[in-house]
Amino acid sequence: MKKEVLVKFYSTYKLYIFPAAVAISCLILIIFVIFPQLGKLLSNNKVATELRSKADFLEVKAQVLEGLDGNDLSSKLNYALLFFPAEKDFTNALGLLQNITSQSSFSILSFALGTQTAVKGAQSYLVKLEVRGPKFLLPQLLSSIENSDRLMRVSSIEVNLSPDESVNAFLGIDALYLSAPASFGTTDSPLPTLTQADEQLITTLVRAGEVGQQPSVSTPGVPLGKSNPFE
Amino acid sequence: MKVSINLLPAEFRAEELKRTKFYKVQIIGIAVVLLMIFLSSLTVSLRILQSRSIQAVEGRILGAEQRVTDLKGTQASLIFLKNRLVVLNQYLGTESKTVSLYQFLVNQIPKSVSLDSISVGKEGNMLTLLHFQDIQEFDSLLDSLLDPEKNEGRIKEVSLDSFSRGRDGLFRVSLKVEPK
Repeated sequence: MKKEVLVKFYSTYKLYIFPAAVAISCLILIIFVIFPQLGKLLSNNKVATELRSKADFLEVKAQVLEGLDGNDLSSKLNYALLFFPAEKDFTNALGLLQNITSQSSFSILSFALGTQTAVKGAQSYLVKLEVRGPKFLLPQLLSSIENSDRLMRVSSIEVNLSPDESVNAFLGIDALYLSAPASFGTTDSPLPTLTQADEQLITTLVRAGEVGQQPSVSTPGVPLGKSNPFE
Repeated sequence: MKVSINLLPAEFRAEELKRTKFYKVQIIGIAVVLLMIFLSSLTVSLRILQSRSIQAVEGRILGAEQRVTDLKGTQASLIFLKNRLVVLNQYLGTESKTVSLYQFLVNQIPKSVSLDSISVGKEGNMLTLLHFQDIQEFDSLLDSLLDPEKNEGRIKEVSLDSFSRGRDGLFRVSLKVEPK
């Protein structure tokens, strides 16, 4: 009885009931399936693009790192650190200054270590030198200090000339150093590139370092004095 | 001439029209539902494909990250080396202002002018004591110090702190040179 009523009701209003059923089912599909899936598709598309570019970046970075020779890089770094150390190296700087002054026919009368000074892009400490030598060799001494195997800059010069063509010079020398960077980069951080100028500079440093490391030519140990001092 | 005669009774005709209209509505409705089902399955399959693609990319990232982590030492050396080179590039091959000004001033002093002392400060301020016999030579020294072509735009001001002439006939001058 009830079924017959329903069938009769449907056959009377089927022209309205069927489209309504279609519209409701379409709405359900749109609201619960198409719309959320499409939203996620669009939002994930952005994520996928970012992930793809990250993967490309990391693969290129890994490829670049694999192409570098770690040992060669370490040795270049050692040469760079000899030239421009990461910490104060008083003994090295003083030894080098002693060599340079003696090679320029100057003698050190006194030296003092000063406080930390500010220089462009680096840290430095002051080495005060009092030297004496020929007047005409002073420009060579200054040039040798600035072009030595360690980064140094002459910050002040005070020269007193004697009648005998010798000079007494007080030199303020900034010995530059720079602490190691606080971070050596993360996995995601970009790699620095070595430019043509950098490569040339490295070659210069390596050449200078190799010359500096060559054993100095010394005279064979000739015994001096008496063979028996008690004679 | 075509003559169309409908012999059906009027109530049957209305019923037939209603049935035809419902048939059309049914076809359109089914087409719309099928279209919606197609769109739903399309979006779902696209999402599945996208998820798989993201998983593959994540796998690539993990692999590349592992490769980079294995070469952390090389990366550290490269960053450390670049950190040195950036500063070295600023300094190497260039003379400090102090030395450059000192060399310039010494080269400008004529042979007949004797230098007693010279001091160059960090900012390039120079103070020099000179003595000479011929004032013309001192004049030419001042000219060369002040001529922008000769001093290559390095000197801003030259001031005479003291000027005296002794019994020995020598002029003694204290000269202050301020760089640009």
